Amino acid sequence: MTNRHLPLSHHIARYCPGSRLTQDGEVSGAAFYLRPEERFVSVEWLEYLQQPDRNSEIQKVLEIFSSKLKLGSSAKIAILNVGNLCRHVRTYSMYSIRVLHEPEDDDPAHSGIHDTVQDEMLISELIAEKVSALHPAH
Amino acid sequence: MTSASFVIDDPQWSTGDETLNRNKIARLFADMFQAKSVESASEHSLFQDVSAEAVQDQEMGELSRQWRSQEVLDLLEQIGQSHASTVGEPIVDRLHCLRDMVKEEEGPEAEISPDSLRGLLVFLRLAGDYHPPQISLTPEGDVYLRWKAGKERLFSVHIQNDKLVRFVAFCPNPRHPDITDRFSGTATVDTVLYTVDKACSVLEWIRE
Repeated sequence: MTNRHLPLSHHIARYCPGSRLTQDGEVSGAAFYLRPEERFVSVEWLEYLQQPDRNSEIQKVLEIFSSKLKLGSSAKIAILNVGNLCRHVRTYSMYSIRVLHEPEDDDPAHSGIHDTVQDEMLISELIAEKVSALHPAH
Repeated sequence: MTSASFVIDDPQWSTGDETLNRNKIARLFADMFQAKSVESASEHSLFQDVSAEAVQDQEMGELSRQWRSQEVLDLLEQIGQSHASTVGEPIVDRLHCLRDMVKEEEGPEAEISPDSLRGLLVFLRLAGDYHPPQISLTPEGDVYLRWKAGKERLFSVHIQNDKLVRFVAFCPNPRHPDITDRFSGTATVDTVLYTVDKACSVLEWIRE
């Protein structure tokens, strides 16, 4: 069974450790690099969480991240719109990326940005350009 | 018997003839301990008798980590000394800060890649005067440099090791300033500035 594409109008959240941010607090392209064992860039699908507003979605996402990761004191949560992200990468590189639902037993909103490895550094910087908001992880 | 001593004019890449310095000795020991550790682990998988050897492995692993850690500190010191304090100090301060962050995020064994730091040292020596870059780390601990000016200019360099880098450069199109040209590729650590400068004149704004 193929994984479902996220609607273009929806939003995703990416956990960005402090070491992937610049000293000015901006998201660097390194925040969207894959680890060697990863197939896609892990994110959370905000609308899937069915919260009343963005703040509640962020709180919920923080709960999910803190159950899976040790949240660094300088880490941030980056918010991106799926459609803006995919269009931007397609327009300014020769590649298309996909944002697919990748549910896990303990994290049903888990999703992934696929196909970034085609030109990882360029695509990661293009993704970083489309971060619409940054929230402290603490 | 005579002993030859060489003066290396272009020291960034090893010729094998350099005098061993503290940093190089640390690296050699780290490599040796790591190799011993791997060799010993594979022997254990053949002969299930692990108790005493497992302790030895742990000790070797610990020694290897200590040497790596010392190597990173030595490289940070060299980076600080390679530039005027106005440029070198902020870079070294930032790298120490990143080192603390990565240890907090991923555990005390996590470390900045020494190979990448060696590449950074070469890059900085050749780069000359420039604005100190924004610095972050990749998931593998490689150094990721970033210069940005406005929304339309970006130059990022991912230092993979002491020879190779990946780069991304965004700049206004010379004929259509409202359009941003975007380049990416790979180069060597000692040529990337000039390669990218030919395509989008990064030197004029990272050195302003």
